[in-house]
Amino acid sequence: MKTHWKMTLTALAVAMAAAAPAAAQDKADVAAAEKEGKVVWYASVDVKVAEAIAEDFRKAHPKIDVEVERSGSERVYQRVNQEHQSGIKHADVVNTSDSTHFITWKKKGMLAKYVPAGVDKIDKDYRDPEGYYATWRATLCVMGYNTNIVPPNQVPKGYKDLLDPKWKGKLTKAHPSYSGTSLTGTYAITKVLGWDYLEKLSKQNVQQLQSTTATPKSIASGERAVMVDGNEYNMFIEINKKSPVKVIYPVEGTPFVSSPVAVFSDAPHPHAARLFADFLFSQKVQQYLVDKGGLRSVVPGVKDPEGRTPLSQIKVIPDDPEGMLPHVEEIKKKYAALFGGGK
Amino acid sequence: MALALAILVLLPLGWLAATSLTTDNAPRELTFRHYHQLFVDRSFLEPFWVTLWTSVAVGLLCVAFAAPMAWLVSRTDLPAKRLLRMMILASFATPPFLGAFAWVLLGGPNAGLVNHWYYWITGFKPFEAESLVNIFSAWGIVFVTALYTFPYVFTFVATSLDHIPSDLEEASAILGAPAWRTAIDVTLPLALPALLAGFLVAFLQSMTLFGPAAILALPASIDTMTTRIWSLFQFPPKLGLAAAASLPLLLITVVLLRAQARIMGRRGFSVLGGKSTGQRLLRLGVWKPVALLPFAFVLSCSVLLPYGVLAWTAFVKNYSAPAAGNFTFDNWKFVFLEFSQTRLALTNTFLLGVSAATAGTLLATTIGYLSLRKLVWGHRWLSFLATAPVAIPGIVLAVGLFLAYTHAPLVLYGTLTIIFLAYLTKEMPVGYQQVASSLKSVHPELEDASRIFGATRLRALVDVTAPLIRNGVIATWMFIFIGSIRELSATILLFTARTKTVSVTMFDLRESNDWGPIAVLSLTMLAITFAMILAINFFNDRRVT
Amino acid sequence: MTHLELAGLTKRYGGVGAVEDVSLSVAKGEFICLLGPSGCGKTTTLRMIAGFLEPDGGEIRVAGEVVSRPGRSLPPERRNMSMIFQSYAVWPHMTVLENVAYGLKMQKRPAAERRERALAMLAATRLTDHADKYPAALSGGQQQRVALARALAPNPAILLLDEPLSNLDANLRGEMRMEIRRLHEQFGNTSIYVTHDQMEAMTMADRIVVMNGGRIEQIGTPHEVYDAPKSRFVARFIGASNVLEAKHVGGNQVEVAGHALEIGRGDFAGAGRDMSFCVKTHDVDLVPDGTAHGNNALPGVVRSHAYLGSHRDYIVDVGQEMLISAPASLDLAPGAKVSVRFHADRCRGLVQ
Repeated sequence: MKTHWKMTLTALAVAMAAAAPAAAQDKADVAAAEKEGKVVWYASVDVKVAEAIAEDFRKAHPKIDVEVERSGSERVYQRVNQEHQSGIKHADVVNTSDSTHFITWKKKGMLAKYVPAGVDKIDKDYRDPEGYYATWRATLCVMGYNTNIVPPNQVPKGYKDLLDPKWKGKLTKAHPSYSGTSLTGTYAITKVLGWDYLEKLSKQNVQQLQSTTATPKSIASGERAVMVDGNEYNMFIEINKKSPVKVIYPVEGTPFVSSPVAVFSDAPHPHAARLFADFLFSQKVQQYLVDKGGLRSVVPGVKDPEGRTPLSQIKVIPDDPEGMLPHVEEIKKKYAALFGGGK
Repeated sequence: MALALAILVLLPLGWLAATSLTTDNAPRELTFRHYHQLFVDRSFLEPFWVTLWTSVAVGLLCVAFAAPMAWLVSRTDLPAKRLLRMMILASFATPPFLGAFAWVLLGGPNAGLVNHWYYWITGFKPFEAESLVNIFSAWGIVFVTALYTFPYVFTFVATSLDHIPSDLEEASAILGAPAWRTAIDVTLPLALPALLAGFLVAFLQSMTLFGPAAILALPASIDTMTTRIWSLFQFPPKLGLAAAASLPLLLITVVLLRAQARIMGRRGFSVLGGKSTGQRLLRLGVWKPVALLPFAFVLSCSVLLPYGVLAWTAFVKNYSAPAAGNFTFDNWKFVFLEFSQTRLALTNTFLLGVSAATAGTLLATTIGYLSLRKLVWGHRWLSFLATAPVAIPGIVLAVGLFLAYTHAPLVLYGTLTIIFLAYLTKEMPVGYQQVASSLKSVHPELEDASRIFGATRLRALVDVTAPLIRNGVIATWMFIFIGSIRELSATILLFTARTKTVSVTMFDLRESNDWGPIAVLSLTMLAITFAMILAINFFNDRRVT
Repeated sequence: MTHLELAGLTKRYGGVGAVEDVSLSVAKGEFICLLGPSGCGKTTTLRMIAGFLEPDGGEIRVAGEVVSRPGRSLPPERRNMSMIFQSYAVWPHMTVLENVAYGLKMQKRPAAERRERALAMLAATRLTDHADKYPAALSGGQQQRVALARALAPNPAILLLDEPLSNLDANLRGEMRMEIRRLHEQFGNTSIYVTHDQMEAMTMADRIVVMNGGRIEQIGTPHEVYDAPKSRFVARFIGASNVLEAKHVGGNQVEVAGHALEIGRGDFAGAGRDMSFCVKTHDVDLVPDGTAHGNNALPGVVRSHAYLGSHRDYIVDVGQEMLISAPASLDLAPGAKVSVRFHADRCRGLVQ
């Protein structure tokens, strides 16, 4: 408890010092943002969703260009850290699906304290009490299958069903070393079923992909029959494209994955960054995320489209970044030992 | 000049050696820990083993296919030789990682098009029957790497066959040996050095390539040395280990290249002086279709199918779905109108290509001129330094550059300059050899003549040497440009968000299986490459002799 | 009047002398051949004269002005010389006319004059029809004539020729020899011609400089060098000579294998010392009867012979092997015993 306090205090001090020049701002300055002319957004959201949002922002602010750098959550995290360590200031706004990143960055004083418009109305479970980051989007880390390959009576109900020998060579899974969603999902699985389960799963000859945006595409193309983890929103996108896939909400529970957004304290375009953060939390973008992006939103007033299973009817395993943080390296390492890849 | 070159080449290597021997964190101390870990950690031994055996397999496969193919082209009345040679050139020009992308689409065990056809023909069902090919495997790497490496072996062997005086073979024929006997008893031993050299080059290519390994092996949970080094670079980077893991690759390359130089020098082309005319061609007769089979197979796999599948994927919504209602321009629209990285990546790639090609050509020309005309003290060292980077695998060079230029006084990480340096260093040997061969074709007396008639050295350079090597220099520029725009192995460690190139962007898109945009970028890259090759041929044809 | 002067000229490569202490005076308009085997230093000497190489010792003077000395060497372009190269060195990217006019262009002559003079040179070398062709379209001999025209066009004070005919085939070579000599007579340039072919040297040169091992062996008119070689090397190199080992007895007398011979000319070593003498292959008589010795003759045995139409060449063993040109009518089988008779005035004693 004592060390905890100490750490928080130090972090606070560092953060305050770092954020000092920008701290006074609690509203985005459009004129200043336009003068900066550009905002750089590192994101782990699906590239087409990201680019569509960027295009929308450009339309709203023709004088400000958006540069999207999309990669997997863990890759975004690595790049941000690598660049930070090398003294490269490039990223303005960041989004990953691994909430532990934001805890770490906040501690290091890398985030700016900024509460975008509307974020104060979000349930406090989904935002940093000190105002450094907030859940911008959420997704469920779901299972899924190809309806052409898997007959209705054989559809697995949950994770445990996947250990059946008949699924050998037919499974695909994302990698927790690359994908924040997969990391959160894999952590949830270990909590519910234990490492024992993953060890057995690793014997099933699983196609190991990187991103949880990739696994839905894999079952959509018929490359594999069943997906162990993948983004619910990518499944919705595939379903919208009439791909032969369906979502499975596992009986053991579906991992809930928060995906926060934050502004960097050393953002090269601080005003544009804040303006863009405001935009990201606007009703319009949030509704777009839900409608076109297939995501879940925690912003009040955003409505799920028809036909989508409401969150309230799904057994959800809540994410627990604070609890996961100390285990991140261990999960990646143990996972790589079983499934290969990563480090 | 020599100093700049020495720094360019030696500084990264020095850092590599130093880093591999010191602890990662302060206080930096001498340690053999990294090497020790290399030898005991299974996560290094396995990739090392995989790298070794796949590379040997690539070498053998290349030789097994390329040698008979080269013999058929050089010694028989095989039809459509020009076309075949052009297609082999096309496989040569295709970046291997691009081939790997295409083969994911073709050879994915269940959705891959080749397997689709296989299931359709046999009536088997995916998942119930074994697929025909599973590209996500170590053999997948071997297959794809071999497809884009065999042109090296083919060229080596074909050139050596063209240079074997036909009377040697005729002597055997006149003594009553049938054609196949002559081929085995006379031709094969004479072509052996070229075969061996080809094998070594194929081995080295396979050992140091990053693209195919990363694209095909990672999904199958297999690591090779290059993917391992790359993963050591993920944050937080383990630089000491990465450096230590790089050195075996460097060492093997140096040793094998020396071996290759010895093989080629002792019994190679130089001994077999070239009477290539009047070669007696063996009549294939009814065997013609059979002789064309290996070409049909290899070239389908390396060029026709991959280009086809990329073209298909670029224009459809889902590459594994039937054609009806699948057609779309969305991928093109996305890449060129919506995807904000396209412009950045294209600009970066173009900037890097142009600057590396220009600087590389200038440097290569200057060094070539100074060293071939023996104008400066230490000209031997100049030419050695200019050709030395050929022994540095791309990914090893990148590790070295990263280490060298993330420290004061020169912090270049995160800039295009560091990637530029990587390309410049990597392409220097090619550029130097190109320029040197054009310079060698300009007799020094041509310049002397100009001077004795009253031209200064500079004037002689402008009036005589420059116009005579112009086409060679232009070709050099284009070679470096092509080499630069397709580079992945070194770029993958050196890029940052701001300094992305097209190849890295494609690699990122691969991680989320966005095949449509990848196909579009692939076609774009191929189009630029082939435009350049056509231009090179155009200039070479006009070369004054 | 001395035009070009080499004084103690020396060039070393890595301590090894390529040219050692070469001194030579060339008169204006003179045609000099530097003759010697490959590696004798003749080309190095020529390249020093041209200014491509700087001497390590000695100096080169043109019209009394020093143009080369160690550490200070006028660059080639400021020497007002021309050169013809072994490889022709005709520029493939320029037309014949452009090639020929290049030197004039460097002299900054007006365009009209350049063209006129270049065309005149082409006429002199019978290349007028080829003026606008590129060299690749010409034969070797034609290319060499282009080189010749190009070299003569600027009317150089000194013309240097570096084995210009060695890449041509035999008949063309004879023709070009005449051509070069004709043009030399027409234009009167001081010319230094490097060759390893004594025929070329004999037919073209006013004086021949025979070089060996970086040193000058002999300087003289073709007649002097041929008729009165000063050393064994010169005697052998100029050809058609037998060099026989002997011992000086005294006066004009030498002894070969116990037989006394009289030598009419040349240098003598001093009584009791070993020396040599040379005699041309056609200056000895081959006497079929093997008993005619005593009369300035040596006994010998025919080893082999070759019928050459105009005469026969015999290899005769007189204790040393000799090449003897005999009348075609004299037909002796190998093994035949013969006498070889020497004429004292055709034999020349050699000490060097």
